Amino acid sequence: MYEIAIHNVTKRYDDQLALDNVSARIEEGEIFGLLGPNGAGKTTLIHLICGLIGMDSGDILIGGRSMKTSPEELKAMIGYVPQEIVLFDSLSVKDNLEYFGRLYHLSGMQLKEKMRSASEITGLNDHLKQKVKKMSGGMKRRLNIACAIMHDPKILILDEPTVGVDPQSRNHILESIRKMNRTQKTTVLYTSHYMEEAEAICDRLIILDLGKELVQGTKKEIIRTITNETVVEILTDHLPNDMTEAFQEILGVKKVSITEEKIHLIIDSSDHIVEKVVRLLSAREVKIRNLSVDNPTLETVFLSITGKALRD
Amino acid sequence: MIHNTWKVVGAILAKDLKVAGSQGALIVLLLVFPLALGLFYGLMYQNVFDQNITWAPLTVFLLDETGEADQGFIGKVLNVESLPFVQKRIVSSVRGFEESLAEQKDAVGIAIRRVEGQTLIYWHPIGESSLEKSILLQAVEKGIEEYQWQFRASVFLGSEAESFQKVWETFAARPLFREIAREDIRVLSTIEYFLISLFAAFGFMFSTEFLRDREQKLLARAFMAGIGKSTLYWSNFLSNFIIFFAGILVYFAIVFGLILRSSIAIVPFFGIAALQALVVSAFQSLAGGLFKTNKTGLAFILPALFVMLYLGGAFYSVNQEPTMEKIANFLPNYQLFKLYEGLVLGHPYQEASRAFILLAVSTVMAFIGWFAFTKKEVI
Repeated sequence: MYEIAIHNVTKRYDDQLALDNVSARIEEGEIFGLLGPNGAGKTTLIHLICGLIGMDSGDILIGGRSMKTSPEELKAMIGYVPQEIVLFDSLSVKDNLEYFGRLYHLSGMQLKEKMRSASEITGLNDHLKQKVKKMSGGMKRRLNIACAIMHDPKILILDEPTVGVDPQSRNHILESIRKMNRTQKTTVLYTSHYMEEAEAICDRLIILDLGKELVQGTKKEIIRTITNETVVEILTDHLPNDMTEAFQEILGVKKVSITEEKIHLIIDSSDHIVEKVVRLLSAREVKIRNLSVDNPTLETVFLSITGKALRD
Repeated sequence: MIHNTWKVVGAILAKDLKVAGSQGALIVLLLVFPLALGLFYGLMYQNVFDQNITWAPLTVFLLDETGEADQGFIGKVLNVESLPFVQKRIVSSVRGFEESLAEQKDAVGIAIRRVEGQTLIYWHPIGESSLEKSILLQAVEKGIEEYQWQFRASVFLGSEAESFQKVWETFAARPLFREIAREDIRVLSTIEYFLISLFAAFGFMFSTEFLRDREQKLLARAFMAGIGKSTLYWSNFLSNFIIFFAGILVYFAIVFGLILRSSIAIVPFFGIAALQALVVSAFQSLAGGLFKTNKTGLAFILPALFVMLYLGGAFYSVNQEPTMEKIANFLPNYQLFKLYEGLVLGHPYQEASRAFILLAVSTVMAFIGWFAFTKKEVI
């Protein structure tokens, strides 16, 4: 069994609380999303699961065994793809794969076979002799993943693996993760800034902010938490300075976010609030260039809960 | 378990060799830079320091009223073989002594006289002071000191004086009176000096990518493969040792084989080279254990290197100044230099105690680094 159970984990860096009593359970064979803005505690939680840092309180169990008591055996089950590109720049793709394979005690034919399969999954089989420093950002990201899956890990942990990647490489990376999950029943823990990625591949999610768990569940369950809300986006030609306060005075407006000439509102689905908003804008002589009313997405859930966009 | 540990060592060594092979800057830093700088300084200063001394003949008139001039200590001191510039003239009377000196423009007169039951020694230099006169005067003073000791020993100890000297030498582990061997007069040429001293210091800059790997989280990634911190630390230490040891062999093959064409004792050379690789690996591992980033690591390594360069005699001979030599004795590059110096001068085991000091220092540094590395989080 390769499920991950996180029990009331707390971690501090000096006086700063990085994780505050976070709990979650990641089932074997599922793709679990870990979402949150910068400073939410995502990477800290990943480092704790990987046993790279120690926790102040709580425990993390993998397959029922604690990371505190059997760290080396548990680490060998995990494939960890760090947020940064952690590779030897001056070496080739093949040399990098070989090095990490050897660290996992692979050798001979077995090593060659694993190098072949890892490079195939990540689409690097035609680039084995290429030096890492001459590769594009997307290709490096793929190699970053390939090095982590050399030993066929039961659990794959990816910390924002698609940052700064071109759409083609991003699709390839996401497809590789799905394929590993589907064919090898790999348990995947995935963090991202990109909500659409999380929506596309994750079975369940947890949203963190400032080290605290905000919400957890399947995509549908999470969206249901704000199901009586509607998202309104209005594009205008200009906006007076005090519009945020003016919108907040309308009963039923829950969140207001204004960037230049774009207004983003989360409102109650009832009570003709859209009409009140339009009336307010025309009273202030603001011309509406476009207005859209949408059902909530994970992005709007996040905005609703935290009051800020995921990429802030 | 042990088998897996060696696999990790092999993986890290193979990786480090590939990385080193792909980095021309490393080869330049390790081999070309000390070679070029050593040759530059050596050639620049050879006319200053490598002058052959041509002795000027010094006539010494010797009056000995005790009749022991040929057997006694003065006789020994004025031996032509030990002081090649001395031209000894025996005179038999005070008048002859005075007349002989009066005719000279540049000479020395030594008179050993009996006055009221005491033996007195008179020193009469004629002409300007010179290096030869200074050396002769020092030799005479040393001879008097030795004679006085032997005289007192025979008065107090009688026939036991000789056996006392043997016992003393056994316990002190050195002769009571040091006889300067002819070979000791040979010193390193400036080219030999700089080629060794600069490499002994700059060698401390050699490191594999331990610190960089730690900063860029490559160690964390290796740590994720289930490898213990101790295994990671000692594997990197060993890799650093092996690669630098090979580098030392290449460097000195060029220096001794191609440039100096000097013959050295192979066994002690391998021992000293291994010691240098050990102390440098320990130093770099200490930095890798204590610091998490290249920047902080360099903030430790560079000042240490500058201290070694300037106080450890990399650019000048600290032997000229006793205080500087005492300070230099605290620095590992000076200890290494002295070992290599002994090797080149043909007495490689004379400074063996320095090897034990370096061994102890390396052990302490390596274990402090290991302790710090295993106690801290890897990222």
